[in-house]
Amino acid sequence: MNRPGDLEQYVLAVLVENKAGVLARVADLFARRGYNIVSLNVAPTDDERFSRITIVVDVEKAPLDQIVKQLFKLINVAYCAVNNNTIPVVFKC
Amino acid sequence: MQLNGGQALIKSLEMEDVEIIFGLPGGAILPVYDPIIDSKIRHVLVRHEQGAGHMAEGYAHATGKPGVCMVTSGPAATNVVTPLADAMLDSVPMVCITGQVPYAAIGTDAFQECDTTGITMAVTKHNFLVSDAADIPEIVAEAFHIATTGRPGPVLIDVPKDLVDPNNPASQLEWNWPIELNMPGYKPTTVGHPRKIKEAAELIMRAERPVIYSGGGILKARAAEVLRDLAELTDIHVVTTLMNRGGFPDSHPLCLGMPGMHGNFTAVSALQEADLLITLGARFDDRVTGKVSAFAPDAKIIHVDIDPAELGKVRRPDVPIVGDVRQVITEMIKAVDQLGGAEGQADRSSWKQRISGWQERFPLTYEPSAPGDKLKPQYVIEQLRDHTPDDTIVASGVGQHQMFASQYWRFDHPYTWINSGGLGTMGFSIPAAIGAKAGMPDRQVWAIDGDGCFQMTATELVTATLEKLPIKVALLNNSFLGMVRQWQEMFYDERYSSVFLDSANVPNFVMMAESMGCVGILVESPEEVGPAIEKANSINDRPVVVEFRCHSEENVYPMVPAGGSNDDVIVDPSQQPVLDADRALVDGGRA
Repeated sequence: MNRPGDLEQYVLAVLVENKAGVLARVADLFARRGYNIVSLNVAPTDDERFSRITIVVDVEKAPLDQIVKQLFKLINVAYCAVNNNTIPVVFKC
Repeated sequence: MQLNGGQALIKSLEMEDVEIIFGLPGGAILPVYDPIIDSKIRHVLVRHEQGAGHMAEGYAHATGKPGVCMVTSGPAATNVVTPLADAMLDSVPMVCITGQVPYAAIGTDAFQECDTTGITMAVTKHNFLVSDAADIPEIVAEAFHIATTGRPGPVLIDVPKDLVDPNNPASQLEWNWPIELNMPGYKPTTVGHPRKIKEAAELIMRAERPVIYSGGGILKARAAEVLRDLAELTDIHVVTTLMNRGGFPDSHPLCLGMPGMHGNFTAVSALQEADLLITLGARFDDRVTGKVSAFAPDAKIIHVDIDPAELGKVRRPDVPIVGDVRQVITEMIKAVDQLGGAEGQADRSSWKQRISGWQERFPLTYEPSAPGDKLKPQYVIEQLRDHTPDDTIVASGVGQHQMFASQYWRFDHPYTWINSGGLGTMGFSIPAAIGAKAGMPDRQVWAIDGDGCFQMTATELVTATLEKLPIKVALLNNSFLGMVRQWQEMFYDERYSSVFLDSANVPNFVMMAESMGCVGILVESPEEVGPAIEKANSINDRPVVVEFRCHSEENVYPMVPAGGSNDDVIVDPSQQPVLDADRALVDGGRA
């Protein structure tokens, strides 16, 4: 749940398995649940099994924790971190 | 051992203890159909792929085991989209295998090509596109694991033809089993947090107006027994949602039956006035809550669900517990015992009186039909209930007949009620009943259907006849899309738009049934109902369709109008004056 004073935009660092179609799964989830994407970037990580999708989300329409939980439900999503603006998330498996 | 992809796929299904596949072959899936001939797995040949999907669902509902369906590419894959969506919304464990054009042809708009994984992404728990034959055993193992663990759901495997083609060297693989699963992103939480369970137990002890709000998760988690233990220990009443009918026995004194849009008055009102909802495997569906902001306004919420995303999705819980509902209830019982168990419960005598008062004054009721008039659907359901064994499996379609069945049947055993709750798929009942019969051949299986639903999937009765799956169908023919008619009557000023099916004239359901190898029986008067059911029960070598000519203007009550508050439930017209007087008294008291 969002509380008063919470930010409207968050940066999600989503660690995904490096498999075909994963970006489509994430994008499709945002589209069908009506979540707003401000920006999205995909990049490899130091572990070739995983890629990192960095998404800036607008939480005006849907609460942040619901977005994160729905992301976690995707089988290919291994990890999802929320940081409240610019700190990069480094993930080592 | 060397196998080709098709052999490996079927062998993997055997290793997963699959005993039956519902399907229909076609070009792209041909190489997988060949090794079925040499397999011990039974294949049920359907007449439409949607039927295969719903049969797999019905099988899963009745047995608890994952249902399996297999179809070809393109139009066959799109035909299973509805069952997949249905299984997704009702959390039904199911694995669907689709053929696909050869891997190199994907994306070329080849014959019978469609983007199956793309199309089904939103209606499956997960899906796979096989890109290497060697991956097939691993993908099958992962698919069954995903479908059956955590919150169950449908999983689809899309198989390009060349990767299962025995003549393609690239389809050869070295067979390996068992498979070690490697899914870093999939670890369902099954064990509830002990501190949260203790908090829940404390709320339970103190609550003066508690209700257990039990949903389909109870059945999925095989938790009916522990639910009963918890209810009896705490002496707390239980509502059973549409998805959990049978998960707590209707004949139990603590059972309040179905809540929601067409729930009985007591179940609806108990949730509304509760000070604590012990929510077990339910998800605050809009058909239960009505207007969310007005739902159970004074209640604290304990919410137990295996899917973390359900907690807080609709209603913020005071005590959220992620976990397998059977495990959590078991622990909850221990925690309640530690706090004093049955003796330590708050005094709830006035709450119990309030509940029994509602039960006495607002029971489910209907006006019996006048002599010579058409049958009342409620009467037919009551007769069916009273003339069939206690453990009969009932599969229903969607609409008025579904609500009447849920209201008027007496569900005393888990896994006896199979219906399409979330997606509301008309045409669900006949294929679902066939799937249930395939899984439970010794049980009596009745499909309760309407004339609208029947005409969507009745062709599967051919499958039932030829595959020797003798289901029985109670066809409640009221000549209308009954529920839509009811809404047009109540909310569109009786302006009836495209709801009259004229199905007392066309088709001739008895002839239609007989053309498909079934026995067809027409029933028009009340005294014929019981004998017709007895006759149907005595026929076990082929399916039976009993058409009951029902009243067209019968409405389902109680009813909470869509988007309305549960406080404004409309009861049967014969009870409405009593309720109105009650409400005036309460409003007067407040003023």
